[in-house]
Amino acid sequence: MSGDHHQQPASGALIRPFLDGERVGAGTGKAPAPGAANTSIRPFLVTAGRTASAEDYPVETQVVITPRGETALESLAFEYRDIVTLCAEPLAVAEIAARLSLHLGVIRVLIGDLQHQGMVTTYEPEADATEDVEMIMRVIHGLRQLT
Amino acid sequence: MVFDSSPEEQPTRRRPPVPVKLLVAGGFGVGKTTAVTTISEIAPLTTEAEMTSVAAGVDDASLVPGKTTTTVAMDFGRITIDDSIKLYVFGTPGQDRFGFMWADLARGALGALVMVDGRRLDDCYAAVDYFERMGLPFVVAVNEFDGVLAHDLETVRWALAVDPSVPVIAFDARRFLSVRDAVLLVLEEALVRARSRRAARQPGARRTGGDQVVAVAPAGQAPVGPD
Repeated sequence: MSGDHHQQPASGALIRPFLDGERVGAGTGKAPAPGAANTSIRPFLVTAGRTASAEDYPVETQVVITPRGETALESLAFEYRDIVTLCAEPLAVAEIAARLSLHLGVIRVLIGDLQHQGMVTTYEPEADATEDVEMIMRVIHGLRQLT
Repeated sequence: MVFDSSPEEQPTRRRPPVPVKLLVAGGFGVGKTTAVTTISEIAPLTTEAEMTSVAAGVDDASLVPGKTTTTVAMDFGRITIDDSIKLYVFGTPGQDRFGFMWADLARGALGALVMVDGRRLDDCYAAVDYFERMGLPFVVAVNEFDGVLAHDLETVRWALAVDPSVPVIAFDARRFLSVRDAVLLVLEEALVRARSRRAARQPGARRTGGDQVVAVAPAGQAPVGPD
C-alpha cells in the first residue's frame, strides 16, 4: 500500500478513509511508524503479524489434507485454501512455502492454524531418525537402485 | 514416527512417506544448487528461511553482542526412495565471514555433504566447524570444476584438519552418479553413527553423560596421555 495518501484529497475526490491518516493498521490497533514508507507487502501480513507458530514444524514435515479440509475447502480464504489444495498429496512444509512463494515462517504459522482447525494433518519426521539403523539402510538401498 | 494430528480429527486414509533429510553445505558459488539439481527428482525449489547468524571469529566469540536473524534463500530437492520414505536434500545458504547457525535445518538431519571449491578452501571452514560441533556426520566433497582438482585430496584433508575418519572425496556436481555416490557416502557415515548410538543404548552398555554423541576429537589437537 502506498504511503502517499497523507494529503487531503481535492474536494469531492473519493478516498477510502483508512488511507487518509492514522488508521492504516485498522484492526490491529497500531498505526505504522510515522514516516515509514510502506514499499511492499510485509511477509507476515497474511499471518496478522504473528511470527511464531505454536508448532515449530521441521522443514520436512509432511502435510496432508483431511476429510474435513476437503469438505471445507471452498470456504477457506486465500493462502489457507492454497495450502490445503496443494496438500491433496503429502507435501513437506518447505515445499509448500516454495510453491506458494511464501516465507517459511509464514507458512508454519498458517499450517499451525489449519491443523488447529482440523483441515490438515501433519506428520513430523521421526524424532530419532538419526538412530534408526533400519531406515538408513533402506534409504541407502533405495538410492543405490537409482541410476 | 511421531503422529501429530488435531485431536478431534480422524487421520487421513493413507500415511504419508516418512521424510528424512540431508544437507549440502559449502561456500557461496561452490555448486550446491547444481548438486541439488542433479540429484533431485523435481526441479529444485527455493524458499526463504530465517537463519540465525553469529560472527564466526573463533577468537572473539565472547564479544559477539547477540544473534541476528537474516532471511536467506534456501534450495532443496527431493528423492522418493520408496512408498514410505522421501529423502530431502537441502542446500544450506552460503556465508562469508559469518557462520550461519543452521539449527533449523540441521535438526533431525542424517548428515551433510560439505562441498569444497579447491581454489577457495577456506569457504567451507564454517560448515566443517559447525558439523563437528553438532556431531553431525559429514563428508567433504571437492567439486571438480572442469575435471581438474586444484589440490590433491590429502592436501585438502590437511588444510581442513578434519578427523581422519571423515571421508574426503572428489566429485562432479553435474553428474548424477557422482552426486549419488557422494550422498551414499554421507548415508554410510550416518549409519555408523546410528549403530554406535544404538549400541550405546543397549542394556548393560556403559552409559556416558546424557545424550552425548561420541565426540570427534578436533584434528590437530595433540593427544593427551602418558608418555
